[in-house]
Amino acid sequence: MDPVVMTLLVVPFAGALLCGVLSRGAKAAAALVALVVMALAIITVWQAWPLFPDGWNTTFGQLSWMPGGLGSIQLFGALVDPLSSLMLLLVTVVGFVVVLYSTGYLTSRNVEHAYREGDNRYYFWLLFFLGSMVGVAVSPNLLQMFLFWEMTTICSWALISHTHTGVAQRAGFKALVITHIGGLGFLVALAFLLVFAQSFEFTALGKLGGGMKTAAFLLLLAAAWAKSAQVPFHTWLPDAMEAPTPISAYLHAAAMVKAGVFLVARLIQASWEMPSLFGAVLLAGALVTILMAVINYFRQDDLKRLLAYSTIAHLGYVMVGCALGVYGSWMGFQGGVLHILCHGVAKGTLFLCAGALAYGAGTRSISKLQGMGRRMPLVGAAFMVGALAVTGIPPLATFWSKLYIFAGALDVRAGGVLLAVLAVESVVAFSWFIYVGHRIFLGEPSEEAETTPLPAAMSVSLVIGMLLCVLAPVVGVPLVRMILP
Amino acid sequence: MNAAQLVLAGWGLLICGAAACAVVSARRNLVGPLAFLFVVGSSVLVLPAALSVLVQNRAAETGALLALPGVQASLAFRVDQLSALFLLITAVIAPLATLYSIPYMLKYRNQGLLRYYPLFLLFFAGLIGVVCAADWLFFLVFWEFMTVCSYFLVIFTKEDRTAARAGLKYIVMTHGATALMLIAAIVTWKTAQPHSFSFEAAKATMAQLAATRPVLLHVLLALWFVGFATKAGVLPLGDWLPDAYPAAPSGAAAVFGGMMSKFGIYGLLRVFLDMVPACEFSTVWGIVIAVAGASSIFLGTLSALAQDDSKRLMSFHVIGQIGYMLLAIGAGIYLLPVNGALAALAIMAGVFHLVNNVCYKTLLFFTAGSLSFRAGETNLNRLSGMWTVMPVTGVAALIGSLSIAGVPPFNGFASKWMIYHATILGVPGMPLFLLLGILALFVSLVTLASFLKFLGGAFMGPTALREEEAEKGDVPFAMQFPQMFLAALCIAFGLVPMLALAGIHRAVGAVLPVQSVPSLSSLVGNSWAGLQLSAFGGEATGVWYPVVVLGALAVGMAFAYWVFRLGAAPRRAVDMWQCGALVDGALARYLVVEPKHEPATAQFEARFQAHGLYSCFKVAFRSVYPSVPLPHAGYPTRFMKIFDVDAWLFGPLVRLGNRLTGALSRTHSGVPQMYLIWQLVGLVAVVVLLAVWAN
Repeated sequence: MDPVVMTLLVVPFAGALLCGVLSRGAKAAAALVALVVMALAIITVWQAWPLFPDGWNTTFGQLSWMPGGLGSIQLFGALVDPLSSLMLLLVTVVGFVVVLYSTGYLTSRNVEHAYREGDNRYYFWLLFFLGSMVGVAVSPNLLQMFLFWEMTTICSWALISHTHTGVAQRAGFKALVITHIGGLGFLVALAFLLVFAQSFEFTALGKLGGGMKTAAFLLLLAAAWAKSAQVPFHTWLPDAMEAPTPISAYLHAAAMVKAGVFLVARLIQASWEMPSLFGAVLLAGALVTILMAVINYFRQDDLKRLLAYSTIAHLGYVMVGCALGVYGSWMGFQGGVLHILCHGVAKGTLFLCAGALAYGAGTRSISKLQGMGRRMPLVGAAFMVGALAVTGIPPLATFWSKLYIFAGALDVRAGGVLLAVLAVESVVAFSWFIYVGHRIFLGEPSEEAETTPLPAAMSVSLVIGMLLCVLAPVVGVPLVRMILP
Repeated sequence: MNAAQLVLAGWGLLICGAAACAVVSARRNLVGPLAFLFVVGSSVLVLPAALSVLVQNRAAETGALLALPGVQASLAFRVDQLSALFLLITAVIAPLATLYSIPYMLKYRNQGLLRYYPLFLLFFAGLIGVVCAADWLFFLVFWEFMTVCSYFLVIFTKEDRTAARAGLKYIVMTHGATALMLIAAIVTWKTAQPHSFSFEAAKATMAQLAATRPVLLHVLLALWFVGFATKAGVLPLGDWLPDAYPAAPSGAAAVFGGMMSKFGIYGLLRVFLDMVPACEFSTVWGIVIAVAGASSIFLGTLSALAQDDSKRLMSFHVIGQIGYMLLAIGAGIYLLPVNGALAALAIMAGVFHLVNNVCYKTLLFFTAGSLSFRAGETNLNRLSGMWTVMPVTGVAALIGSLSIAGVPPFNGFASKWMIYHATILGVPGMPLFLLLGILALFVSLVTLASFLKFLGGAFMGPTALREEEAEKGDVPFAMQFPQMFLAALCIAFGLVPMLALAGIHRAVGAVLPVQSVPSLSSLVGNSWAGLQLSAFGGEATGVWYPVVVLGALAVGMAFAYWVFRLGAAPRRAVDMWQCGALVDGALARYLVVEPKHEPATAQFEARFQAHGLYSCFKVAFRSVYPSVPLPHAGYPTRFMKIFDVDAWLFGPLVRLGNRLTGALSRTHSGVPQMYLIWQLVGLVAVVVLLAVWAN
């Protein structure tokens, strides 16, 4: 177990350095490294599975010179429990798909933006990010999670502004500033925990006294909100759509934005007895976010911005699940966690479709694209599967997570109202995605629909994406059922 | 291998067939027959299984195929008598529709068949799953699966904007309905102790809710009702239906109109008979269902009168006909606590009408498809005289039209007669049902009128086809056979209603919430030659022997002929009536009210407008089914500004920060004396601070 996890943590960074050195072969090397990381992650989860629900845990590193009890604090390590397994599988599997897709997407044949061939900077940052996400997923305590957390922020900045255009640099900077300000909250909360609880464990929050506990929780929550683009920190995510589309699929659908909700889920799982005030804050934030996102659906012409708002809304769903967890609904909490995985693969697939459209037609504008179904039938199929999966059509991915959340909603008082609100959002989002699908793929082909054929790497990625939309709950449901308080 | 396992095997065969068709979909001539083979194979398994359940009058079940302990749901195929009836329908219609599609789909030269046959087979698999599920969660999974498959069939012609809009409306409305049903299922699951999605648990829960929390039960029943009524096309929830069905390829449209709508009725029967005990809830919801049905009968059928498009006309009749079933079933549910025998009779009448409707409605959609296949046209104003070109289709259309209009001795009459009987005679304490029954009776005439329009418009008069087209003759045999087969069924069920009623009695009996289900012979007599209804047990209240009536008619006609010969009346030669009259020396189909002035076909259209007779209805009922434009989302800008955090929070903050740092940077003047003064000021500040601290 030990060597596998440690290899898993090291390989992506080594791969990143390798890609930084190589020039022509960076593509192939990156794909290979991502494949290896995925395999290692699967092996890790496979080996840890019999140990669930406790999972496998190792720690090392102490600051023995620190005074008092501080010297015995464990600083680093790895934890593979059901929750981290879920996150680990998500980031590595989608990571591999995205790297594979990138090898086809970032070429000079891309109509939207001709990328320079042999650009190893991209793969360096991508693998660096992959490693950071693996680090976040297997972190056994808040300190280590914070370190990797900030590493993902830096990667996000670099990757969003990859094309170095003015808009992209601005968007990257905005993302960096907003998520980093949230990250400061994390840092201050860590200081509180160190001083008052003398621990970085996830359970440390429970050891704090009343007011201090609330303050620390709110600071951590601000970090999570900023990372997961929740109101009022949501504005960076739509702007971040200037990133190359595979980056949007990975960072802004599957992985980085999930770090925020992952943190909240970790905290709730660890210190189960939380004051219901926390639940109220979480729930209110989530509902406002969902409302904001939904009313913004209808104003987007850029397909990627639409997907970004949808991501924001779905992160709100995860937050609703977590809030239900605070209120004592285990089922709702499991649903929220499951939604991390299910939404990740479904929205990732949709982003890959948006990228394929832009690759072929050179535009992401919904109003300009028309009749693409004739030119790109595979993309049409993948978009439909992704749209049905992300809006919760049985038996595809998010149906199951939404089912858990809906069922969990009834555990709390006035849960019927919550259920109704979520159901309305669900139907509205579904309608709008189908409408957008019609706009883009049906009708007589428009001028933009004269497209270049997709490279095999992108087609294969789309097919894998569709399969993941079906398979995600098969792996995810047993995993979340083992998440116990 | 028990019946349920056989059905499961048939279901699996459909899934395999879908995969196989997907693989060979590029071979346009191969994929159709392959799909047909798989569907027939599946039917060969399902048909005897369903029959055996009905014959043995005992439900069959597979073990749990897939258990989800997290949500206390498990998938098992359970075939009870009611499921068996719907499985029979599916097993008969599915091969016919697939056979019909083989030549029809070759018409679409520039559409890939990958989006037809695999989805068509999956759609059938969804239908089978819906009736075999014994668990609300998996019921809804199959239900939505079926809906999504049918949606993709509706948008099959992907360049067609009308079809796309119709598909959008269809999927949005039905998905919303499914969401309501999912909520109902989850609430029921939550209320059940221990939590469970299974039908048994839901049944027990509803019985318990009826006693303890009636308001909640009413809400749940309303959710179920709206959900199923939307699928069945009940007004006004069926707004999508007349748009969506004509958009699909005819083979699929026939299955949608003929069969899929009826699965909404299956759901209603499952909930309101199987789940809800006979109590005051039956009374309330019986009336609701019956009134919804009657309004569908009235408005659906009257809207149909105004249609010029043959497929749209058929679609509106789907709505109208569903109304008949709901009226009877609603009356039956209302009667449950009062008179079990009469309730059984009314519900049987509704289900019998459902079975008959499957036969003639599918048939009529097939004939409309055949017309469009041969003439490339579905507008009745432009179709004409197709009888000479396609006589077999003409005969089939005639039989179907007479059946749907309820002309004896066809099957539509038998079931409608039972419905009138149950509603008009059967509910003495409730005059509402008398009214609704008479309404239904009247609308039957309207149905006849609108099908006269269909028959007259499409088949009568001079042919509008060019000669080389007309020479192609009737549609291929693969399209003729399903029509002939269904026409034969229409006649068979009309002449020997007991053929269907024997099975229907068992299907209804299995879910009827009464102590002892009255025997078949006590309800409709025990003669294979006809029906002997007894609404109040014992004495017969109505008798219908089609063979006897036909015999008497034959004797009467022979007698008339004999008198005619005896009197040696002179023969006059007159032109055959072509459903029209001479107007200004020219043959016009009907009185022309609004002549059109376009060139080219204008003269033809002016003379042969199919809707001339019905223009007053067209005006009066234009707005019954308004097409609702999709709302344009517009928000007050002030409202949107709330969420534009950049504008009112981050932007100002950044500007403020810029100003502050700008102000601070001004201290860097570059003059050494200034820096010395700053140091001095700093020193003083520190000293003051320390002094304050020390005190």
